[in-house]
Amino acid sequence: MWQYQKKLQIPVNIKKPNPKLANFIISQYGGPDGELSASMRYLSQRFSMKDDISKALLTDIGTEELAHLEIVGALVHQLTKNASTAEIENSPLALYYIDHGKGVWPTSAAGQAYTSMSFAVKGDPIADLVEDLAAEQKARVTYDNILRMSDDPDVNRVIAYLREREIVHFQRFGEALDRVQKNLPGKSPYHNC
Amino acid sequence: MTGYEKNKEKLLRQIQALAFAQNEWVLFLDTHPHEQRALREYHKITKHLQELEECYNENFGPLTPADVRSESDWTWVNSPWPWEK
Repeated sequence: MWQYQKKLQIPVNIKKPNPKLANFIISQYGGPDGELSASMRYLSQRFSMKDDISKALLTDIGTEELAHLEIVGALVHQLTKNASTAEIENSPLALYYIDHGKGVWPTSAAGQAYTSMSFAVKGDPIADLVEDLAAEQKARVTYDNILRMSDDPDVNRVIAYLREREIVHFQRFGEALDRVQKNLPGKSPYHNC
Repeated sequence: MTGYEKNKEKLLRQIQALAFAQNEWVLFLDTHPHEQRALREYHKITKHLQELEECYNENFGPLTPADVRSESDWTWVNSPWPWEK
């Protein structure tokens, strides 16, 4: 089960409202390669893992992704909280605002509602761990894209941190996959029992 | 910001930094469960973090509902919440 601590993993302190940036960043809240997708992927995959290391790693990284989801939500909230209606209207966030106001709702930057179709659980340790490696890279690329389109240093500090975490997670999943592949029983893993 | 608020923020940042380091060891140990040096570092950090968290809970407010000290007020609900500045 989960415990919650009343703190963000890192501080988020945005001084300048920016609804355009909020619309970009919201993709890491509810988009295909965002933190909700990541946490649901890992926390769901762990049920069908066979080895202890994979079960532990998926639980712990999945949990960290929930903490990142919170950070992204905080960013979107702080970027819109003090924005004027005119600022929002003249930004890509205008359509989102009609249905959600200054609230935070899982969607992609292009307006696609969050969907489980963003991730896979195959119940096969190798397929699932390889999916996880790809997921971390996709998340990292998305943060790269956000950084390219942002010149707010308060925002970029947080985005750069989240981007670094994806790289570390990628490393850990690689180690887990390595172990699984080294410890395979004699027969082929591709005919599952 | 008041002196109290400055001290609260300073301690929270220390806790965030140490908790981050602890989390890094957790993930590393998950894939290296028998690494002795990593285990030693993990325990060292955890001990230090617990002391800082105890100080925070005692002086600034509960980090979890279980850390509420007040016998007269359910301080858990108090603002600011983490996403607020």
